[in-house]
Amino acid sequence: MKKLREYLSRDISMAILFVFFLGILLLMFVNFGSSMYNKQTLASMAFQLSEVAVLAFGMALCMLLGGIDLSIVANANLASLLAAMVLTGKFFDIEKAGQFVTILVAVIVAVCVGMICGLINGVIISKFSVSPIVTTLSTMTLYSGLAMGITGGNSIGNYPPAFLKFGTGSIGPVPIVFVTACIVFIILILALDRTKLGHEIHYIGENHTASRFTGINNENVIIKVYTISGLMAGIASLMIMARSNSARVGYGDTYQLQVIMIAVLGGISPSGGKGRLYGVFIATFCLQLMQTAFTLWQFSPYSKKLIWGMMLLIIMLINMAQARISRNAKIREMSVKRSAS
Amino acid sequence: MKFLKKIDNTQRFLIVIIVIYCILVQSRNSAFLSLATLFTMFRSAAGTIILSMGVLMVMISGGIDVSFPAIAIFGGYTSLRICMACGIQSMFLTFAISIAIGIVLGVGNAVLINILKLEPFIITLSTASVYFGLMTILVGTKNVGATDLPAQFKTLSKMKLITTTNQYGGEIGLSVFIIPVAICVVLTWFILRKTLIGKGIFAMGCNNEAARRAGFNVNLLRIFIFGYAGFLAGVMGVIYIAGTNSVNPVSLVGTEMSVIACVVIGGASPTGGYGTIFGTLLGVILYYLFSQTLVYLGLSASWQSFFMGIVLLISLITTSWQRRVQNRKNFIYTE
Repeated sequence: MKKLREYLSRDISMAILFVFFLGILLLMFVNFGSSMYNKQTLASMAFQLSEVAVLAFGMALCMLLGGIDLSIVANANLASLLAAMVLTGKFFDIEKAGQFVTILVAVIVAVCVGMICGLINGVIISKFSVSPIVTTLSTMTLYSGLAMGITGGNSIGNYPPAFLKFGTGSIGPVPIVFVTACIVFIILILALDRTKLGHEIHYIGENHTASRFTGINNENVIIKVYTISGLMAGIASLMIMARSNSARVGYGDTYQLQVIMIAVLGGISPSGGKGRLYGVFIATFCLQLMQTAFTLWQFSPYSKKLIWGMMLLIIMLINMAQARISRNAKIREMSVKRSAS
Repeated sequence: MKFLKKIDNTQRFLIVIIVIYCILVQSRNSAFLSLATLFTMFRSAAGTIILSMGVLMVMISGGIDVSFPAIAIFGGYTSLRICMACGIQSMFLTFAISIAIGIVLGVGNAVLINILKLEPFIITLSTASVYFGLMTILVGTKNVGATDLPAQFKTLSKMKLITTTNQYGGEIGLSVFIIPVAICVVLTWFILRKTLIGKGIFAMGCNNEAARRAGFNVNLLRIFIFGYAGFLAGVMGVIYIAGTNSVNPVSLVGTEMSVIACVVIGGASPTGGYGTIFGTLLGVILYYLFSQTLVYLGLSASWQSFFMGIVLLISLITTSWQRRVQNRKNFIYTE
């Protein structure tokens, strides 16, 4: 317990998040009681949470680098459309190839399309020095335009039942998509804490000039990170397809704001360098709890949007106030030391 | 000749693309190059031109604004509903209400950016949904059809300055929208090129800290810039409603990307400090060419944003690459 307190006092934004999370849990319990915390609601929450969580990991990685990936939702859309075309037999005869091969090809297509789109982002940002916001805004236009052009705005649905198992099935009480999200989370956390790439990401986000002069190849790291973010989009696209049994241009338009908000709420600084990935995971749970509450309260989608926007602003205000307080404390400490010596 | 020397590479590239594309379309459809096409295109582009001026100014100052469609629809729709409720018939009051709302919301953006000291993009992204949500709660989301529109909107929508006939003999006129559009464009040009505020905006975009030390009050300037963008959004809100002749308050949100794309294609530097009004206008022209004439080339209109994306990336990459090479020569390393 003492260790936990020590840890939380060191990382104040994490502490705020923790208090926030517990507060929401309690509030929901008081308000809804067992209609919120029963097995069914929790399972449906776990289904919905997974795809947003995976997208948020991709966004968080880019934000750690000091960038942002706005094309992540458009990227997931494009990947899911192309994979859907494979599954419904637009490219080859699925009867002849067999179900297993078709699904395998679809998965490979989704992941590869996601990674290629991410790679394009990374190359434009690092090799041509275009700022991340504008690059990903324009590739967002490009990817969603491509998806729109291919489909003409129609949705593609009706996949083989074996594929839908991935989205609707569960291992015991836990949905398969949620297990996938957890596996992705564990791999990413290990990669960020234990590998060279993980440390390099933090360095570059903190100060990209300094990291260049310590011999880090900034450009390669940036390309790698945006490709990983594209990979996340690919995985999320598979989850979305399998869960909703259809793919359509413009699916998950509201995810854009939500994903950025999750990353900021999870303690990732929008200017880069600071933040922990498990904060992002906790923030995803917070938002999903609120989302479910909104559905129970029957809020309109517009008032949901208002609340998301307000929350993002309030979180940024709290983060700023906290940063200012801790900076002032540091200055005071230093001046005390100086006067003592 | 003097004019040709003044325009930069991006604008030359755009002019070449536009001319080639026009020739291509003309060869497919001989009725394309006519006054009638120009007038129809202008009518649909009027709102985008006004908004793009605001985005241009924000972008020159080194930020990105994505909340302007929300501000525009907030201003326009609220003003419409107030006019309907109180029976106001005055054109002036309609614009005044919309503009006042626009300025207040724009200044709100700037104040938040000044307090939080974060990327304007993230802040305007959240204020966009806050403003839009506020409007749906305070004013509602009821559709207003053409018959219910107050008289001033109808006159604004129908009034024409010059008329001409199209190939089928129908009358097509130059909409009266040209007056507010011209005022906004000239006003923006005047502010950017002829006043100290304009110099301050360019200085801010090049280097915020240097501008501050040179004696510009950066926070005040930012309030002016976003207030002006809000003002333009307010004007656009009324014109948008008059132009579509009926209003679905949910329709405008989500168009911010296309306006930003027009401005970036026009050669404005996304990191600030550079941008021209002529280039922005060329960007808007290209956008509307793609949106209205892809059908003649045998492609459906849904390919429009794909082509926009390609042109956007090419113009971004070329300008950025030149700057990167220049910077490398001076040992400035950027990613």
